[in-house]
Amino acid sequence: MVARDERLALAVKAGDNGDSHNHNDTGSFTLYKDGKPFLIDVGVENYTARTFSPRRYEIWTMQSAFHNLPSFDDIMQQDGEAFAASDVVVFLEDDTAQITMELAGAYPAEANVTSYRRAVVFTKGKGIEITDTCRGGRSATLSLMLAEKPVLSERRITLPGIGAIAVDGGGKLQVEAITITDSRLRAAWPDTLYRIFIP
Amino acid sequence: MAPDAFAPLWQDEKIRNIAEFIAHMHITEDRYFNFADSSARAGYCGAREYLFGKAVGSKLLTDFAAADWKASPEPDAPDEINLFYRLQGVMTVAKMEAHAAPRPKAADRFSRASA
Repeated sequence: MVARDERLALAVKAGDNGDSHNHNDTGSFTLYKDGKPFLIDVGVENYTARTFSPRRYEIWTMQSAFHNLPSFDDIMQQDGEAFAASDVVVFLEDDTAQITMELAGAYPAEANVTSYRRAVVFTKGKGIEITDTCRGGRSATLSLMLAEKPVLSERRITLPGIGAIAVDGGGKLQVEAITITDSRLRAAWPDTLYRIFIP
Repeated sequence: MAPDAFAPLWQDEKIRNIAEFIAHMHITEDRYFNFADSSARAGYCGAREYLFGKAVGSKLLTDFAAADWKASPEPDAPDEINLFYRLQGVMTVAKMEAHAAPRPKAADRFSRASA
């Protein structure tokens, strides 16, 4: 789904993890504000022999933990067409865009996810609300990928000059800096990206 | 091979959807919504995108590609190393310059994958 208003541009992917040139990104989303990257999809590094080998998903950019998705006690999504979103429902109206989906099926059995539902509601001119609801036997930690250094407070992620994200229901926020040296990634991004963890 | 051997393919809905995908995913300047191995900065359009739009009969893509090419800081693609692409660009410049339609306004969209 792609939806926009005067300032925000949002894309959300459902589908599965069996795409050509796949990343394990089922359910992830990308957000721009005023044309600036807000919540990003990193993309891919320069291709190497490993990129198209059985070890493809050892590469960090392919992993769901480096997309805007949760891991369950560090267990990430799995590649393959069988690892998919289900019950995908979309409403596109003049003032609202909405997508809901069940994402438990994108994770392997050892993640022990009974249900993981994501709802994205874009109210034009007001903002975007993303609600993740999980049930299962492991603890969920949501990753969010950013291209600017965030300022964190107890329940707020602020990107100076861009915007802010209010966080409700999560634990203590943490941030990790990721140094970018690969030339293909540097063509799109600055020398440091940031990953926020929301337990 | 006859020049029109692939002509029926251009009328296929899936091919047209592939062609128009970039117009739906464009954000601003050279930035695009990117998933999988695609880059967030995919560059500006040129002759190839314009001609793809013509081939599938997409006003959306021809309008988008021509407007995007005109907005490019380097419409002559001086760093392009593919000789065919450069010749194709030269042969298409006049048509893109004459294409006066404005950049189409992006609309909300949802597509289900199809086999």
